[in-house]
Amino acid sequence: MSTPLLDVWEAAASSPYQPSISKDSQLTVGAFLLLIALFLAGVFGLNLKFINLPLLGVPASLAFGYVACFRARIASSDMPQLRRSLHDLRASQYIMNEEGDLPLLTAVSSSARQLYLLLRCINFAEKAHVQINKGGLQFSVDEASVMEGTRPAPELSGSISLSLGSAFISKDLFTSYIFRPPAPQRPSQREISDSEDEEDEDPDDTLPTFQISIPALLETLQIFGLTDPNSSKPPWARDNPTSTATGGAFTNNVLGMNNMCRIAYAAPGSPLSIVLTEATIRTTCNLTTYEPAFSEEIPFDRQSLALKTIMRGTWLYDAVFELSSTSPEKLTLWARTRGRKPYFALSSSGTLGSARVEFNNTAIRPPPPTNRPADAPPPPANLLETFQLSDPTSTFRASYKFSLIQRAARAMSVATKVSVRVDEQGVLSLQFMIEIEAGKVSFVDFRFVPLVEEDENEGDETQFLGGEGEDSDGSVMEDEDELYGM
Amino acid sequence: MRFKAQIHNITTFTKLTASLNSLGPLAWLKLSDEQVCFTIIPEQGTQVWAVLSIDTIFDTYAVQSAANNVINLEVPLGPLHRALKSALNATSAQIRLTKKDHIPLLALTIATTSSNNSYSAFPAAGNRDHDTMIHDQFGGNRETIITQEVPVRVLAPDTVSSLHEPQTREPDVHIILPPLMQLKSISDRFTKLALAGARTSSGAAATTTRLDMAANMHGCLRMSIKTDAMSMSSVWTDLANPELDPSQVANGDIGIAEHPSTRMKLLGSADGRSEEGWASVRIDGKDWGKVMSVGRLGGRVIACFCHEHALILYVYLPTDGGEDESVLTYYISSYSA
Repeated sequence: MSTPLLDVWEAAASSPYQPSISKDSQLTVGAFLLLIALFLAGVFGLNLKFINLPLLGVPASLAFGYVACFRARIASSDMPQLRRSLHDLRASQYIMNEEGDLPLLTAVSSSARQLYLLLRCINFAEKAHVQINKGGLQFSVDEASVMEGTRPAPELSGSISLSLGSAFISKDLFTSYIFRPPAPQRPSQREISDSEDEEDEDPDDTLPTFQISIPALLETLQIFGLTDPNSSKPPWARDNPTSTATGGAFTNNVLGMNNMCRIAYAAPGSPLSIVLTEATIRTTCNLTTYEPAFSEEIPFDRQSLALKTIMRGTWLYDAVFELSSTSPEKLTLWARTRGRKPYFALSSSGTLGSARVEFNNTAIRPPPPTNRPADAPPPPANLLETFQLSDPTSTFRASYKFSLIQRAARAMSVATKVSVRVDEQGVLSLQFMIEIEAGKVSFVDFRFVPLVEEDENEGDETQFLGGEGEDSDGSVMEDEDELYGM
Repeated sequence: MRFKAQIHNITTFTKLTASLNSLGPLAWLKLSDEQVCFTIIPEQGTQVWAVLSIDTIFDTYAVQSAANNVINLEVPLGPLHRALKSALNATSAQIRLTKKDHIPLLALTIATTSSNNSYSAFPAAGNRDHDTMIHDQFGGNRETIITQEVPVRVLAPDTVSSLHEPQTREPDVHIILPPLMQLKSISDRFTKLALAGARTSSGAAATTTRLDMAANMHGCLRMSIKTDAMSMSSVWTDLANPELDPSQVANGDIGIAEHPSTRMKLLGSADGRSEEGWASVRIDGKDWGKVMSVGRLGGRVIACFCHEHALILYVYLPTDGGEDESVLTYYISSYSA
């Protein structure tokens, strides 16, 4: 049971107790107050009149009270046993490091479930890259494919990633997050002279980066709750009479000590250790860390976007889920603006056929022909919250491999909002905003490389669009409006 | 050779056969005047020697044979378990040894109140009393008799005389295990992890999962697994190490003083952080999961660890306060590293 105590210590490190009067001056202030109190009490004793009660008696007793309070504080800050035992605990923790260095990262979280929910979104490859930085932990997973001979330069024919998912676990999700960046390799005098520059120039590779097995990590985080057979039931339905009898108000559950998760990374090359504490069970998991593999980042140009739209994650999920029923190979995004009206569609095509899901922005549509009462409820929030096209005059189109997009399905299903962006190169970026707890949002990013458009397909696609080609789509849109009006 | 008994605790008997069935298909059932013994000796894996007091499952019990009133049978556990499952809602169940066309059978005669029990509009299990009442009212209390026959083989006394419980040395550590279902859920997770790790690496070599179980004399139990991708261990603390009874140990008090567990008590610590004082065994993850299925009987379990040799589990079945306890003994041998 020593680990929870240690965790409390760790958690408390971020918010130390600051007395209003510093410890050094408490004795002087206390003695002064005591003198005043004695003096006032003496005067009051000599002159026992009712009018003197508020004048002398009350201040005297207040002063006494404060002194007593200080004494208690001084006593509490001098509890040598507790302090020593806590110090021993800290020491024993650091002994685990062979070289006596402090670990690079120590983070305590009381919500392993949140970490699990976030990381589950990017669980589509065996290994994940982890980068530790000041703000949190960056997990990224990429699906690489080996390019065989298509590139002329042999040194470039390594693996390039086709899709990339990354989840950022902000340090806000931890009750305590202590990151000690490794000392930079450069001479230290430069650091003093221009620390500002230093920070700017600090390349990413001094930050600890490694690979771990993401399925293993997820399984580890799931260990929680396993040991509680009643965890599926609400607390009042649990048939565990001992918990109230023995623990009462101080059970681990009430104190929030349950599901304590401690993540530590001692030094480059050492395993990422995760310690989970639950009641009297302590599970330690050392995940082997691997050398980061070289893989090309998918370049995404935020400055030159061809398309940007924001919608609810579940809507995108529903659309992709619908399309997946025909097990297509290709997913195409369509976007255009027609008469200030945004139009966004997802179409899929495969050997079994093709399907299309359209997103029509109902809110911006012109007033319906039917005479609606004026006090009708306002139309629901825009289907597409933001809709920007770099070139509103033409139809935007980009295709992606469907199986890759499906990797993001889990993120879509849990996301509150998704921002769909495509840059001029055709690289698709899906950014999911996931609200794992009221008020706390986290982001999960996905990037996809587009499929190269083929000329022969071009004709097919226009045909497939049918009457909704670039010229004749006006009438179709009107039809849709009528549908809405009815 | 006669055997006839009333089964009074059908649920326990069913659960018992289910958990025994996971370890092996055939059991040696030894019926005698004092006790009922189930023994499973599979080709590979865990041996079970279960000694049940007659009251645990049987009621009016009669056994007769030429060989000292002892009957040895080889019972297929799967059919027996299926037969018992059909008796779960029975009002009474009887088991007896018969012969049909020269084939010895265990005949299970099950009496249920109503044949349409399972098809009635009311949920049968929950509303049985209610159901019966209605049928009584309308004079429709139809009793149905189901007879299930499980073919068995009668074993000659010579055949079983060569079977003995495994001999093990005195255990280094004995400890009361946490609830088996809790242990099972974690060990299952461990095995799953190991298998997931095996899929990524080359494979064939890692198809068997080796769990490392260890315990010390200070109330700690450690279960760990190591794969290429990770090493993981769970430590339980605050468990109990039962005291040895001097009357049960050879040489009494001197025997206890020289007992390996007394020596192990001097090593290790109660928080499970020390590396000393652990007695550990390496066991197969899948096999362990099967053994853990006995947890559904909900008994007290004492584990005896013989360091790098064997793990012996004593599962005490809960009784209604009777003196003579029923014990299931599991012998799990340790794999070499």
